[in-house]
Amino acid sequence: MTNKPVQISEDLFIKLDQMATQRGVTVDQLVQEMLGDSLKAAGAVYQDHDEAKIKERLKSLGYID
Amino acid sequence: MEHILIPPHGNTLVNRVLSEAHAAEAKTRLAGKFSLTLDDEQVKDVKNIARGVLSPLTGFMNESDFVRVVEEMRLADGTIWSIPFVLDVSEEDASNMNTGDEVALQDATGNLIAVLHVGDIYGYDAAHVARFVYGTDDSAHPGVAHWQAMKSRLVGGLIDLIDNTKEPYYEVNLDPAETRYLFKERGWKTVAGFQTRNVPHRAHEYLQRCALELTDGLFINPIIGKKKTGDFQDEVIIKAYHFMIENFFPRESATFSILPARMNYAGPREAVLHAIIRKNFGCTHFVVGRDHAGVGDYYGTYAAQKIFEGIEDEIGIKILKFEHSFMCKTCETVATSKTCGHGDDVRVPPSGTKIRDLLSAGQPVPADIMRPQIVEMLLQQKSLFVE
Ligand SMILES: [Zn+2]
Repeated sequence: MTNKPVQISEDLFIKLDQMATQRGVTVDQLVQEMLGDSLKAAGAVYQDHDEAKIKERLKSLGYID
Repeated sequence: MEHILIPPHGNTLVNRVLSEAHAAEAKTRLAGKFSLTLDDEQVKDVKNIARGVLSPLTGFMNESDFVRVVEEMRLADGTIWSIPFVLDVSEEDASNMNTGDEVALQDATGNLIAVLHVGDIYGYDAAHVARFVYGTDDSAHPGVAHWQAMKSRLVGGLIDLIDNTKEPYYEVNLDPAETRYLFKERGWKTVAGFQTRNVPHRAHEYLQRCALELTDGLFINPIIGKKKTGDFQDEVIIKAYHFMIENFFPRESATFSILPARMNYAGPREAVLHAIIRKNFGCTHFVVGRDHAGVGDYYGTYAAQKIFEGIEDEIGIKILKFEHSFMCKTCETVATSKTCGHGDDVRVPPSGTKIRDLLSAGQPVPADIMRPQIVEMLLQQKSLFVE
């Protein structure tokens, strides 16, 4: 992982720039959008209050039998 | 029949704890970005917001919520809320942030806690806040002193929690979603919440039993965290309640879990906050004694009970108001001035100072003030009080 600016190939940049121009956004905005989409694909943003998980934790801590 | 559980304050249990995948992604995204370092109390605020303890708050207050909470005890949308939850920053830090930015919130050790989605950045008048929230601008009041010492700007905005760890004492630290499940599992339709910062003595126990006579369940919820010199250590409070739950209360009708949270010593305003928090945990009733969450002589004896007049129904949790309780030697039981007709000469009040002095000297507290088994356990501890 790096905090520094990342080098990408000129080809990739040109493709991104074309896509961004088509959509009327900047390359930065486009990348953010794509990142957002990939995050959505990664599943729920927040930990769900899954009853089975809650039950398991309460059991393991001795709150319920 | 469907189990009816009290809705959280604002009707939605807030959940801003990022899923593992999103927490990992946020860590990557925030690496090297501008960050703010929180103190331990602010970390607790962040975690409590994200876990729904402070529902309907979803982040640190923006200016419209802040102003209305201070002056009218309501959020901007009209929901009752009594204490401002704000993040103070220096002028310099404020100048490094813009509305819409994502800022990393880290603890004093540099551990990444949460993402702050920057909302309003604004100023405030500490004396104005103090007069409304604490009813005084006397800097001898710890809550007022805190506001006077805060940095000059406030930053509001949504919180996304990355670090959902619950150390120390994770094994007795339940989220509202968990207590709600627990109450449902036990079949409790009514639950009395009990706020404390102390090791239980008989007068506490009396109030707890009275509350439990009226409800299906008792939820003892000690606030732990930053203390004043002479306060009981967190570990000791937890051990004592563990003992009470294991040995005295029926397992099917009483439970306890801690609440790591900031104490504001705001008396009546804080009693309202404490009631709302317990409502979020799923309590239908909340015990308010005399001088709830007060400090010194700033608040009238009954101020923390009176503040609920006219707003109790709107908050939606039943307030169980009690007098001070004491052991009456003639009644031969714990009682209050409502139930005992004798004079002070036969009443043994549970003096915190006396209990502390005795225990500090390694002396037992009299059995009419505190259960001998609790006293015995306390005397075995290496360190009882915050130095
Ligand atoms: Zn009496």
